[in-house]
Amino acid sequence: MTVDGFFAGPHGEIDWFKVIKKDGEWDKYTHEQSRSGGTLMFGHTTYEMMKGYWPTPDALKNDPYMAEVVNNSPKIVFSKTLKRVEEGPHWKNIMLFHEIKPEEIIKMKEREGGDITILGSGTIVQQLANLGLIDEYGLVVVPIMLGAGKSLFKDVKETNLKLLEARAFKNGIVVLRYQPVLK
Amino acid sequence: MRKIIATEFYTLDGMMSDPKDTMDWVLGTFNEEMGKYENEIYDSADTLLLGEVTYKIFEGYWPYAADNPDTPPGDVEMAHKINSIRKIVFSKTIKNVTWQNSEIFSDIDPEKLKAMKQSPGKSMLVVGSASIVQQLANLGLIDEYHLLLHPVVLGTGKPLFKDIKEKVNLKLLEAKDFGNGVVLLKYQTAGK
Repeated sequence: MTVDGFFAGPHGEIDWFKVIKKDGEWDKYTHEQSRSGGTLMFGHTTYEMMKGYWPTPDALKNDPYMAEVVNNSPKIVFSKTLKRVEEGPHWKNIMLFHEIKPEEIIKMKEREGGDITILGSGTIVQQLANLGLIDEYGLVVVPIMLGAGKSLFKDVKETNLKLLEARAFKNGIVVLRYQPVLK
Repeated sequence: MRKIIATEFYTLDGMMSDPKDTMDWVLGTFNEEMGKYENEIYDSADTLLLGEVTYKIFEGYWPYAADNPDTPPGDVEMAHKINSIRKIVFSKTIKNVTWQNSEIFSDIDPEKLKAMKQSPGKSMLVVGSASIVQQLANLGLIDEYHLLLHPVVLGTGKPLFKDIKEKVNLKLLEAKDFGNGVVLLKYQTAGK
């Protein structure tokens, strides 16, 4: 997320991620976070971005560890327009849902297995936030202001949160973890 | 060179106040650590740069705070600082000011502000005053942002960074947990 609250540029751009400089501690942290063996959840736009990168030779070469984690993790996509999802040797284990049904999400949460992590997917975050179904926010604050973009908390109702962790890295990233507090 | 520092109460959805400027979300969590930061930042400065709305709110509170028995002790100390510090309010409509050590600038003149930065003195603080933050940011005149990020999504309110015209690369100077859920994020800009 940028300092001015955007998770993507106005047209979904994430080229600003490149201001994130390499940092050993930060790489260690991101790899630790991905070890949980949990499920990944996406909206359509983020799903297409992920699919367009992680199964490719570039990703397999630059970050084989993460590519394998993303490939093997169960993936849930919400999309009204996608008719079906295509699997491949480096892109498996995907379930497509056409709408967010709270009872289904609650069932997913009750099942055995690791946590469900939403990456990007602002509209999914906003809908689940307003349904009270998000248990934790992990915000990676990148040291940049974009000026315009897609706001992470657009249309999210007033929410009090509890700070679980605030951690700064030498490359200027600050990770903030919060738990929503029920009113 | 003197710095212009924007020091702001801030929410996760980028607001600097609720729609009515009541700031309950700040008053409810304010603690000693935050009070210490506020004292330090005001002691490091000799000028406040304010917009009309913030100026009027401050003018209605600070001159009377020290004499009001209901004022919290931390605010009594702050009142002396705020009443005596030089205050510049940017306004085309306010015709005269009666608050101690206040003056009106009818517009934001970048050359005048650059000259002030070059002259001897301490830092200049922009407090609240979202419209002033936005205008100074677009002129490249803000050197540091101190965002006191509160653990809250307001949903409605006044966005701090509306109408910022260009990307601003920042350098993190400090991230500090005040212990009450509020995190201070201090950033430096490239500046002009």
